Amino acid sequence: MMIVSADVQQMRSTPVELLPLKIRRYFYALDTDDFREIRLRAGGAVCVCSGSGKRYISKYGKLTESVKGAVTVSPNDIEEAVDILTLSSLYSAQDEIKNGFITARGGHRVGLCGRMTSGGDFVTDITGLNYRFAREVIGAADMAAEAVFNNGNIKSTLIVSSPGCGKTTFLRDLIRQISDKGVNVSVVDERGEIGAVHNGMPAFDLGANTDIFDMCGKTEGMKLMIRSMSPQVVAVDEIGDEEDISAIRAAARSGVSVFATIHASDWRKDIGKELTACFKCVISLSDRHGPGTVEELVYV
Amino acid sequence: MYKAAGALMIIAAFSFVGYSFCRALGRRCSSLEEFRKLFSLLRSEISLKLTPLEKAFAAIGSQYGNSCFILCADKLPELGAQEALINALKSTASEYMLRGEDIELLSAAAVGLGKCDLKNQLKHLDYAVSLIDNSIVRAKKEREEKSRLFMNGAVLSGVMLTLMLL
Repeated sequence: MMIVSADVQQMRSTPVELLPLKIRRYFYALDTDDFREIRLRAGGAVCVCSGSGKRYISKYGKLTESVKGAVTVSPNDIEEAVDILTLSSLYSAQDEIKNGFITARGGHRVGLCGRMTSGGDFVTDITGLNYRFAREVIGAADMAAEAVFNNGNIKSTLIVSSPGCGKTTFLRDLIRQISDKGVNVSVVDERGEIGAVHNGMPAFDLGANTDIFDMCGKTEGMKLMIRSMSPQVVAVDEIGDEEDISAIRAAARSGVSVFATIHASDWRKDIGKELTACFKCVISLSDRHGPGTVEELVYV
Repeated sequence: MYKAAGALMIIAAFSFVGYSFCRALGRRCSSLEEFRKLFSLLRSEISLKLTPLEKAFAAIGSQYGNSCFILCADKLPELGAQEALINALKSTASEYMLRGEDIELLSAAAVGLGKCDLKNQLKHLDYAVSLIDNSIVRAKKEREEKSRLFMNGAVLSGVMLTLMLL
């Protein structure tokens, strides 16, 4: 029997609990298991993206294909939603807001748009929110784990897919499986999505031998982790910058394997050889049979 | 004998009223000083740790036994920072001997709380603390001016009433 404390239960809350009250009540009768995103746009209809496509919430609390008669979002709703997401403390999330998102409890990332201040260091008058459901899928990386971890030899692995195909979920499970095999894994969780740490406790199971550096820049975090936690594997989400590549190279030079994800539809065309050369294994994902479908596993 | 006892009781009662007024003036000063300290601590919590308001109010409130901050932390998720603080101030005003003007002044600290970025939040709290500073100066001056007046006035009133009744 697995015992989950109230705190952990709260940490694993769904994004529906983070919606403004007026909108939340329309979701009470809905089954949200299949939901991937909820989009709120000031003046627009409440939109739900699920495995079966894009739909709207009707005033009767049902999913509908038509925008007509759908529940609309007011600027006040957006303001209330931001208040809930930031725990009435906008300043506490200002670094995230500056980068266009807020990571809420449960590891759900809420993308946002509005008006960037003249200094470019804050977003005001927020007009749109996109709640992305973070999910833990135990066993998502079953097939890959064996290929990545072979007789104590861990291959640096790059997970590639378009947005919304389950990269982070896949990476999370890969970390858990490798960590449970006794490998020291250090996670640099720049957006707080991998571990969803809340009050110092990760909401997702990342294995028995995982250390998490939360809300820290990837480049800096990787250096710090290698220096201080002596990991065998460093895991990061959504790489792409030149700086990230040089940090991954530095990790490789230190004898540390790297698990990373990157956005790309076709890794052979979209990712430079310079980056792929840093990895020994590339896993390409799609959502052909649902998010996390492994299309390709290639040793580079 | 009865007359003497009655006279003493009247004088004691009036003195007690005077003493209560004096105590209220003193308590008001110490409350304002306490709130000044708590808002400074809140500023530090925000500036050093970016602690969310609910957690910051709860931590500071329980550390210093301030029921206003504790109540604010309790109500914050439901009402939002601004409303929760104003409500808490109003609910605990009698406990801290705060007057309407003090509530208004402390409420100024609540306006915009949690609604802006760090730089502006700190500026706002600094402004609130400076307002409280001014209020403390005024409250202390009032205490000096009026506490002796209340005390002496009350005793004299008691004596006068006693003489009139005799």
